[in-house]
Amino acid sequence: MSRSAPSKVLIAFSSILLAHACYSAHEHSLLSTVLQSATPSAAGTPTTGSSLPLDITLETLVSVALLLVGIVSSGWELKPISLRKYAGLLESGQIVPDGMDAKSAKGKKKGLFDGLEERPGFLDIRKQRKEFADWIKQQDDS
Amino acid sequence: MAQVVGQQILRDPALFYWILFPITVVMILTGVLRHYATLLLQSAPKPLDAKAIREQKNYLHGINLRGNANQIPLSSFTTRKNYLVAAYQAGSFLKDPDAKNKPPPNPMSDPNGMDQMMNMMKGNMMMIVPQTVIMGWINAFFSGFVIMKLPFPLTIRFKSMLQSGVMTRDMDVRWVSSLSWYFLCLFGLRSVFTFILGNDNSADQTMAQMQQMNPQQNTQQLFGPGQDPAKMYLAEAENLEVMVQHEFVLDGIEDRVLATV
Amino acid sequence: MSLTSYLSRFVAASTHPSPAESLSLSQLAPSILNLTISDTPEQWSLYESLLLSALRTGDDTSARLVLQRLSDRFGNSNARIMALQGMYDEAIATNHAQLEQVLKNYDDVIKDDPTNVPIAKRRITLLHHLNKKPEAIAALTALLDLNPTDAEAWAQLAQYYFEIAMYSQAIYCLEEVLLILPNAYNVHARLGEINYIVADSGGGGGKESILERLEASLRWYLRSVELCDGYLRGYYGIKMVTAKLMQTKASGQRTIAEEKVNKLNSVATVHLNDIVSGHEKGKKEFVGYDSVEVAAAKELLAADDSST
Repeated sequence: MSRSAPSKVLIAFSSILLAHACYSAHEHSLLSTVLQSATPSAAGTPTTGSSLPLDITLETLVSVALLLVGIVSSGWELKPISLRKYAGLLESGQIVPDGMDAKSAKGKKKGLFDGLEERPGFLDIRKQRKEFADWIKQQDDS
Repeated sequence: MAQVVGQQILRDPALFYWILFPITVVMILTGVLRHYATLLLQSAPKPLDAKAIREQKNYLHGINLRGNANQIPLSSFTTRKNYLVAAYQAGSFLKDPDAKNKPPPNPMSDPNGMDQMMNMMKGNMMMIVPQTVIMGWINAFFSGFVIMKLPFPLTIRFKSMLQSGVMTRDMDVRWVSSLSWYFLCLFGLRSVFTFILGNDNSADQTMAQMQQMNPQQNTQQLFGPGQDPAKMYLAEAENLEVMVQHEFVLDGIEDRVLATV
Repeated sequence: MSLTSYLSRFVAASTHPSPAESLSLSQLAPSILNLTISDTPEQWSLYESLLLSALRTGDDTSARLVLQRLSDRFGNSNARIMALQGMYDEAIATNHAQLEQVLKNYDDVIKDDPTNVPIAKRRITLLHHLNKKPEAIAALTALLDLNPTDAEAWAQLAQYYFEIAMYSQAIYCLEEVLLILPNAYNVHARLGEINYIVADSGGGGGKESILERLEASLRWYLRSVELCDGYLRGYYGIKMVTAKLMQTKASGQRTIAEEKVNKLNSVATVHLNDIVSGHEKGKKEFVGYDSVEVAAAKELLAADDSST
């Protein structure tokens, strides 16, 4: 997941902006309640919540928008969706199918339809056993 | 904004220890018990016999041929089409070819359908029986108790939900009666069960494992009960017969490859 | 090492691993058997692969132990366990009579339950191993009559027919596989190969027929390349068939113009060159190719160079 530098900066900046907006909103609500209790004459008008100053609202919206843009443009590699590409990458061993880590699969290709050629249901175990025994014998001889 | 001073009701703390707590614990325990009882009662779906498998798979064969006809040359397609249409019309893949002209069997008398219904019955019984018992128990012992106060205000609409069994008109909606606590537990404990029983599907998980161990024995039914395979075969034969258009994918492949590669 | 890392090592190996690979997999047996049994699907599929590699390398004691644990968990009547048990019996059989006994056991199981597909497949494999090819083919066709949507069985039948040189039947079977899995590019390449072999062995009469076969073969190969970018086997086939087509001075009606054949030949050459040189230099995009296949491609390219 490689992220390009500009989008990293964008994400960091907009996150700070969003945090700042949250903090401002919190401070504002705190301030208004303190003022309210200090001046009981103003208690008749409900002021909480709805009267957030315009600049805080704007700051929130802008920071969220920027954050979205940053995340979207951070551009991690997408998996190919066309079979042709995907199968090609599998065949050349550049990607491995899910459930396999790249390390243990190194130097091994794994096609999409290998099962049709390997046919595990029809595995001739005696033949493979014999092949292995022959191989061992060969190893011992040499 | 007139500040309403909440109703004050003095509750015996014993109410908490002897009613609220027991109801909750009993509800959780029955949930766990029901889970394992369901597991025990669940009978594995009966595997299909050879003839039924043959009937279903050969039907699928026709569908595959129709769907992927363009993958094979025209001559190969025509051979297969002629063979399948003839076989479908003759009904040679049917489980019992004699039943071709009989009316479809009553789903109630179909043993497979009975099996399914039995399973459904079992599941329902596992839900209904403990619920009735516990509700009876609560009604008998704890009806009319106000056992807790919610920490937040609610509108009057919730009164019937939260105060069933307590017939007081003026009481604040925040007070909850014992019977209502039972209902709240009944519907609200799902996430608790997921937590206790490991995603609430330790049953499903074992089933999935068994299925993984024998993927060949698929037991799902292609033909639902009440559907007549003979008629479906005839319809499929007709579908195949009217397929006149055949565009072999390999036609013009050299140009496509030269254009893209 | 954890369970998942063991599992991915086994998944990475194919069902036909090289002897050295089998050996290294089989040597994992003691440490895998010492892991606590966690009763997860991964654990059991790991056991299954371990059983196979233990049988391959002749580590019968580990195989016995793994099989025992599997049958303790899933029961002896589970179809898949029965097949594994059968495979174990096949592997440890020392003489012909014992194999016949295993075969007889299979027959009994099939008689009791004709829907036991894993055992049916074991039986077919054993029949084929005992060189009873007609019986194996008959049993396989019976299995396919029961379930004509089993791609693996069709592919196996194609292989059996191919071995006894009944090419048109083999082609028929592979076409059936395509009806089930229309994107199986290796089946397309296989069809190309069989058509090429038919053309090579005389094509069943007439010069025109050979030309048709070659063109059909080329088309199947092209389709495999169209479905899978950079498919070495496909490009190899294209190169081979186009070279043959250029040599053939057949009078028959060509459906693919000669200039296109030439172009396809050069396209395939370019791709093969890329793959071979990339693989030799160890470039990241090409290391995954099978070394044996790359060597064959290199040979083909060299032969082509020397002939022109």
